[in-house]
Amino acid sequence: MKILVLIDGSKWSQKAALHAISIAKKKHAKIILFSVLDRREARAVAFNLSMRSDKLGEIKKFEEQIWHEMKKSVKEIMVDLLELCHEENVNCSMKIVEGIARDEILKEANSGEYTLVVMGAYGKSGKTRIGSLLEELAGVIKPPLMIVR
Amino acid sequence: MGLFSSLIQRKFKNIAGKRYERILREYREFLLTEEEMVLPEIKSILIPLDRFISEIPKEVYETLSAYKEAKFVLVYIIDAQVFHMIEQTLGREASEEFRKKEESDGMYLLEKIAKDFEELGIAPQLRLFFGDKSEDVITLAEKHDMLVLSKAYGSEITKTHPLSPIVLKIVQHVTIPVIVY
Repeated sequence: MKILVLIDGSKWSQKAALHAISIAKKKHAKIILFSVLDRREARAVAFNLSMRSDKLGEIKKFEEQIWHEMKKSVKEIMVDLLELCHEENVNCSMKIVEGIARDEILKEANSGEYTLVVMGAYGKSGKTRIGSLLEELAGVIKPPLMIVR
Repeated sequence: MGLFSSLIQRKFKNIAGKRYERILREYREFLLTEEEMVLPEIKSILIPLDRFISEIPKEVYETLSAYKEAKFVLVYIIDAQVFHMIEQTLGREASEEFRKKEESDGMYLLEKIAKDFEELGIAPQLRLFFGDKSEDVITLAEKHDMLVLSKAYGSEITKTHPLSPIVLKIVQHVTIPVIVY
């Protein structure tokens, strides 16, 4: 059994990982922590910050800094979860790809390798309404999808 | 938990005392607290079924077999509104025919799926009733720790509409983890 856990850096995706670890522990399953980093996010934040702070000339620098932080942040979360898997004797590895979240998630989830996909119900913007990505994915992901709150 | 302490120390190394407490409180929906950083315990699982579902895929059984100690409840809900509509438009006889057919199909499906669970060493409780396919599941879910739903629960699905709107409504309203298959 192989479980794919979608990690977007939110609290909800970390809770999703806890559910996956709990199943993997009982089923001796392997967990893949999977995250997609979208460069356009860094670009959008850099643009908005530069416009407001009147430092449009430094936009490229901002973008690189934000991009670097995004990668560092998701890696840190994954390393913490890997450590937890290790503590719980669960076989776990991580995979970070660059691209558009929906496309990359579908490619990975529907690769035929996974018995279960686990994700958080909400995204990084907190507990507002159910994540729009989830709405897009729930119908088209082939393996069973666990949505965690 | 050691891991949680190290995470907090790293993220909050420059923040102490009241400020730390306030940040934890105000940003609770973004930060996993120590109480939440535990492996979840699932004691009760609700599995709604209806006429749009014919089977549960083997991947779901494999996943659910991780919760063998939990209580499993299979519930088949017959749309009460459809029953009343048939009664009002086509008469009592037609509605009775609908009821009998739905009850017999429902029991057949419940028993068939219960047998699959029994092969895993799980003896589920079975329920069949007339009700509202979304509202009743949302209410029932409050007494369970996990919900397992087919993408087709409550309505037929197609290539262009691969998820039933009833499922989407339920997923938006319940507060427990949901497995959609």
